[in-house]
Amino acid sequence: MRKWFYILIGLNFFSVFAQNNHDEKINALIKQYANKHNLKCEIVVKIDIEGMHIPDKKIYTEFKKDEKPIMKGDGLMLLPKKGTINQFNELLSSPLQAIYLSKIKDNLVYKLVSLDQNSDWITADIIFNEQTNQIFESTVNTRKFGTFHTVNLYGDQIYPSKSTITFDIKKIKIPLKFVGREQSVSTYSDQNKNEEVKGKITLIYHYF
Amino acid sequence: MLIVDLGLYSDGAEIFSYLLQPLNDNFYVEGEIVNGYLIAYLALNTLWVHIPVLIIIVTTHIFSGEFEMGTIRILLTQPISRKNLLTAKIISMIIYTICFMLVVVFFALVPSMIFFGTGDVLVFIDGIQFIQEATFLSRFLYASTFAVLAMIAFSSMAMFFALWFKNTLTAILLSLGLLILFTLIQTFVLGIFSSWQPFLFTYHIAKWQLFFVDEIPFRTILNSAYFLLAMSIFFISLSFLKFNKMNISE
Repeated sequence: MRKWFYILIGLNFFSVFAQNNHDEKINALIKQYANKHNLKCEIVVKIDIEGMHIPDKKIYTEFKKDEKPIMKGDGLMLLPKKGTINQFNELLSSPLQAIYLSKIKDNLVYKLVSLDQNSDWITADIIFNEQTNQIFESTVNTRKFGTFHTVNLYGDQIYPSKSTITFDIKKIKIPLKFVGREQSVSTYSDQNKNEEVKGKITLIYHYF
Repeated sequence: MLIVDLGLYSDGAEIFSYLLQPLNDNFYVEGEIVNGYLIAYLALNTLWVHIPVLIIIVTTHIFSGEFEMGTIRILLTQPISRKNLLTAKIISMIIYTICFMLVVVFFALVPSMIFFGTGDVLVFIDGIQFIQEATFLSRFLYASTFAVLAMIAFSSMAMFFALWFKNTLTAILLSLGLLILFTLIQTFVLGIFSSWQPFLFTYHIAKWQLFFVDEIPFRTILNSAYFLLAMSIFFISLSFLKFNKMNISE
């Protein structure tokens, strides 16, 4: 009995030590992102969503803490609310519990759990480089808008040069009186079969 | 057109905000959705019923009016062949249709551009199409040109009915009846009706919309243009046959 007690104490000691060690890593990541709230960049937005035909747009964007980004460009502009560079700032700024999951080469895999009941996100799985603190992949589960999976590519900057975001989006249902004659009623009813469609957005960043 | 302008000025932003709710959930949307180009595009939707009605009211009267007033007998006592008389009438019908469409295009485009400015256009065809501002004017002019051809084809049919029945009201009602019936068959694609679509003139008239699709399907539009041209030639030929053999002393 005593032997098992010592083994448990020992295991507990090492696990706490291990978690503390990993907490340092996540703290470094938080520090890197939390300090950078005001970002200015030019983003080329490529949107690929079933049922939407949107041309690529170049948008000058200023991200500010807790504010809607300032967007400048030609015509109608769409910028995803989730998956952009400022998402990690917001995500890592809110109270969270980080749980170490694994290590893949130089990359650490963490699960983040939001401790703020009012936050938009619930959990997030992130893969980041422990040396550079660059987040290469993330899967964020939100309360209202489903899951967003983001894959980031990096150039010289610490921020991504390219992000690919995939998510589910509610299929847009157009009331019949707005449907042109090219679109028949039978086609319209087909739209109702699948409530959600896959969306894919590619963002190419140029920082100032 | 002014009514369309006023309506969209007061409620346009709210209507489109409602329509684009799923987009607003996932995206920050920046830019004027309700702009002059969008209004001009919406004004073109009068091509379904309103413009055809206004056009055939006049074009049928060009022919049947002569019979109703009895002036056709006086006309044909002049040293002019029936063929030339009908040709002149058909040319006047075509000129009227073109002039009418020019007025429609002007009032659809100019006031809305002045009051609302320009911008990208959201079009609800096959989902949502974002038409870029730079390409809108050319698309609009192509669509209007196609609409002229469509209206000439429809007027040719109405003209034939006017000659056949020698009565303006009958010709208008019959033409509109066919327009509404074919539109219903085309809109509610049910069972056997789906295979009828390519034979309905309303199916081809509606192809002006395809100029507002991201990648314009020129082949499909050209096929519809051929159909409308053939329809015009068919009804004009029938009109010549009917008019040449017509007993005007009745």
